[in-house]
Amino acid sequence: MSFRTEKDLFETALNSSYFQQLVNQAVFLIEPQGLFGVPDLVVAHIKLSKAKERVRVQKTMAFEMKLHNWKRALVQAFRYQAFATMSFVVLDDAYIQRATKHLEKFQIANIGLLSINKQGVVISHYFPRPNEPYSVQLRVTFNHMLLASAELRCPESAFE
Amino acid sequence: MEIFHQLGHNFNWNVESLHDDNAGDGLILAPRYMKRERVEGMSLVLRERSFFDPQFFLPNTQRGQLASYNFFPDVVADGFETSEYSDSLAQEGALRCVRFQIENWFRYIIIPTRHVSGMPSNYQSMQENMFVLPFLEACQRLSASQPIVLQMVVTEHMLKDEAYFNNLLNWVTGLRGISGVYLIVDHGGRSKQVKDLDLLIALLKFVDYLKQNDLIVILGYLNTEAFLLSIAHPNVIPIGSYEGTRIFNIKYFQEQEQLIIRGPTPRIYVPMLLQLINHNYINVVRRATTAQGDLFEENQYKAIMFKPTYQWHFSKAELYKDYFTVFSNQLRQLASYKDRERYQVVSQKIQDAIGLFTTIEGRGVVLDADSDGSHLPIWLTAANEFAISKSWR
Repeated sequence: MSFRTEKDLFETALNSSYFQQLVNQAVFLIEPQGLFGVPDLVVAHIKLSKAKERVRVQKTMAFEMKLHNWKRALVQAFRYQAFATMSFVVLDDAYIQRATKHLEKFQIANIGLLSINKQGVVISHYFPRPNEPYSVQLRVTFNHMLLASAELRCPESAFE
Repeated sequence: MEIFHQLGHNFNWNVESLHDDNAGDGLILAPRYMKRERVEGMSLVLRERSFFDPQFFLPNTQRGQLASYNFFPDVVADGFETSEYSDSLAQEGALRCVRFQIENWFRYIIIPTRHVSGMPSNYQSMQENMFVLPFLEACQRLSASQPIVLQMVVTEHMLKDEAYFNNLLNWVTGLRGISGVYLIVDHGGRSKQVKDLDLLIALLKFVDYLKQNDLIVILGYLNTEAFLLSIAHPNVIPIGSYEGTRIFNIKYFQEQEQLIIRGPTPRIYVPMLLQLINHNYINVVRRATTAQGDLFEENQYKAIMFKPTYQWHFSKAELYKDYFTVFSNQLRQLASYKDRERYQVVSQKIQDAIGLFTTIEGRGVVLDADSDGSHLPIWLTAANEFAISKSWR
């Protein structure tokens, strides 16, 4: 059984135990605007100064979720490497073979590939190495975004 | 081959680029964006190396500054209606427009055209009655000494349909009194780069046939496909800033009640890639091609843009002035080659760019469709096919 819409897929993913573990103890942003492209989800592990005026990003994972168009998802996920340390494509499990046939493209680009089924089971087909984001400017923009967001919903563990 | 700036929004950047950086050879003046006084107030030296595009594309729509010209059809007729634009109104409009062009000492006198979609069967008679014949008569009456150039806006369908293509050529090459054609292609602008092989081949051939008939060929509204089209040896190639001056789109001349303007993404021209890439990719492309040397030519604008603190924004002049400088240099280098040699240089540069994109991709860089090299194999095929038709290969 495949997902009917990307919204279904996104909601199932966000409620899955895999993503719940990721977002737990992290700051997460849904469809943040003003970066390079609009990722569906960004999860950032950060350390905030007590006065909340500085943010130190330890790890950022950006996710592009699509039903089946892996090529388009790959292009979009590559954009997110401009500000994220890791970037992933999440596809409907029913169509994952289309992408896994071209797994080397994900490996060369260092983009993670995950699949999810309707029961919320996530399988990792390729897990990327963390890298420095390739745009200094977007990293700064993203840090500002995190600071603004962290004030609202930062877990206690994030404070230095 | 000369390079003219296609003026549009923020046309001062083009004027400054021509004047201060010696980028290009002249200007294509745009009444849609320039008040009459502004055009008349330009220095004689500048006007003499430029020409005026009357922009009658939609004769009933006085968009922007078009209302300041007393020869614009909607002004002449006090409300333009095709059926009511009688001989006398057409003649009066033509007389005023030709007089304006003569008195301002422009390089050419342009006979304007109106925009049509598809492939209308009455294209030639409509253009002749409304503009061509009245303008030729006015030129004769006013003893115009500048070369008279007919503007044509052709659709992709007109060029791709063999019968229509031939009819157009027969018509334009049979018109007495014109020295050239100012050719604009309305191809719908579905992607930033032209990736339609049939259209590119048809356009190359159309320009070539016009040249074989000893007509001056001025191309308008081109993106970087100007590089490819240079092998057909047009006399003038345009460079423009915003997309509206690089891809012809009639919407910029239509009345729009509420135009939602979404600022374009700043792009930077990379001459070795023959592509304008999204600025966010600069570092990653540079890192992927370190072995090939710096793909980005140094100039005063790069010095500003490549500072780490630079805030990229589509409204900044240096983005466009850099493009004018770099692209006009690249086109000027081509101008020194002719025929087969020019084709060989163009074809080699396209192949080199394809190779560079392969290297970039091989290093794991995934560029989007507006920044990648997907147009290049199509350009190369078009160049090769045209070269075969010219017996250059």
